[in-house]
Amino acid sequence: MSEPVTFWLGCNVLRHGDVVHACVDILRALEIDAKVVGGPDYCCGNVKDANLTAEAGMARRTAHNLRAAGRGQVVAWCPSCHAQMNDVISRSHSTGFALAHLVELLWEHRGRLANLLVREVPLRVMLHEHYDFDSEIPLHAMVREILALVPGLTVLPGGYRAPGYMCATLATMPAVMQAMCGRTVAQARDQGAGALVTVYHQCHRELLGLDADGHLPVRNYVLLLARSMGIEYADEYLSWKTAAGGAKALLGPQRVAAVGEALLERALLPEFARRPWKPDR
Amino acid sequence: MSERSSTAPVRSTLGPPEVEGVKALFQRERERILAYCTQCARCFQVCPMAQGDPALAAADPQRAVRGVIEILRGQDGTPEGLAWVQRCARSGVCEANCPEPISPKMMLRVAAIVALGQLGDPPRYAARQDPDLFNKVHAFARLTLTPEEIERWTVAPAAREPRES
Repeated sequence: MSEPVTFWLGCNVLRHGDVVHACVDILRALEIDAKVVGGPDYCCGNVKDANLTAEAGMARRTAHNLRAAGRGQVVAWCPSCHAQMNDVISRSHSTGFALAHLVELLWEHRGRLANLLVREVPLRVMLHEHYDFDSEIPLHAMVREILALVPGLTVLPGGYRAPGYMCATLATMPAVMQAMCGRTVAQARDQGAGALVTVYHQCHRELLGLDADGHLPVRNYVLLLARSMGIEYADEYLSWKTAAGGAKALLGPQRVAAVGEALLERALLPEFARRPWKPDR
Repeated sequence: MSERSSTAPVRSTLGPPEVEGVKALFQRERERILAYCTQCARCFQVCPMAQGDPALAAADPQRAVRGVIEILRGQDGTPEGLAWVQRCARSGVCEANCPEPISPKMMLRVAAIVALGQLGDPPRYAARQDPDLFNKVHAFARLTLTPEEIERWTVAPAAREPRES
C-alpha cells in the first residue's frame, strides 16, 4: 500500500461520473489509499477572477478543507485546480500537504499499472494536446507513455498543440475553438486515427461535440485504461451530448426531477446542444 | 519519452504562504511586475493566442505590452493591451521567454483582475459570470454519483457542522 493521498476532483469533472468512477477503480487496483473529495466545498476558485471576494473565500475554505483531510499528499485531477493551488492558494494560505497531478501518480506507478492492463484495446488514437499547464510537469509526454502500456493501442505522433492549457479557456472564443477543432480533425484524419484521446474533462466536455456529430470519436484516457483493466464504463455525457435537446427524454422524469426541470432547460440542455465546430464555417 | 527520470518524486512541495490572502497576493504581484518588467515584449511575440489573432498579430508588440503595464498602473491601457489581456488562455509559453524574475502569465492575469475592477481601480470591462456554475455542478453530481458518494466525497466535514448563529 502506498502513502495515503487525498484525490482532489475539483468541480466540473462531476459531469463525468464514468471518469470519476474509473479513476477511483484504478487507484484502488493500484492499492493507493485515496480519500476522494470534490465539488463546491473544494472549489479552487480559479474561474472567479471577476469576483475576487468570492475567489478569496474559496481559496481559504479549500485550503482549510484539504488540510483537514489530513493526508500528506493531494493528487489533483483538474489542471485548473492544480495551477491555482501552486500559483495562488499555497502562496496565500498555509497548506501542509504536497501536490501532484493524477497523471504524475499514474506515471510513477506505471510498472504496476502495466500489469493491470491485460485486455487489448485495438485502436489507433491521437492525443489531444495543449501546452502543459505547468512547465515543470511534462504531462502530455507522461500520458503518451501511460497509453503506450495498453495492449493493442497505437498512439499516433500527433504534433499539433492547441493554444491554452485546456479547452475551457477557448470555449468562450468560438473562432479560436473553430480553428483548433478544424486542425485537430484534419490531422486525426490524415494520420488515420480511430479516436481522439482527451486528458482533461474540460476538453472532453467540449470535444465530445465532434463525436456527437460523427466527425471523430472522442475517448478519455482514463476510460481506455479502465477498459484495458476489464472495467467498462459508458460515456453518459456523450449520450446526452448526442441527444442534445432530446436529452430530457433520455434522462427520464425521475432524473429530471432530481436536477430540477427549470435548471435543465436553462443550463444543461443548451450545454448539450453546444458544438465546438461547424465544418462548413 | 518524458524527460523526468523514473526515480524522481512526483510530488511538488508547497512552500509556506508569502502573504495573507488572495487579494494581497495579487496586489503584491502587481507591484513586483511593475518593478521588474522592461517591456521587451518577448512574451507577446511568443504568445500563441496573440499570434493566432490577425489583429493582435499585426499589432506593435511594445505597444501591446505597454498597454498591459498601463492597466497595472491603474490607467486605461492601449486597445491592443486590453485585447491581449482578454484573450489570454494561459498557454504559458511566455514564461520561459521572460528574461526578468516575473511571470508574464501572472502579469496578464493580474491585469485582467485590475481591468475587471477587482483591486480597487475603475473597471475597464465586465466579464460574463455563469450564475449557474455551481447549480450545474450539483445537478451533474446528482446525475452521475450515488447519494452516498455525494455525501462522502463532496460534503466537507466543516459543512456538516451547524453554523454559529
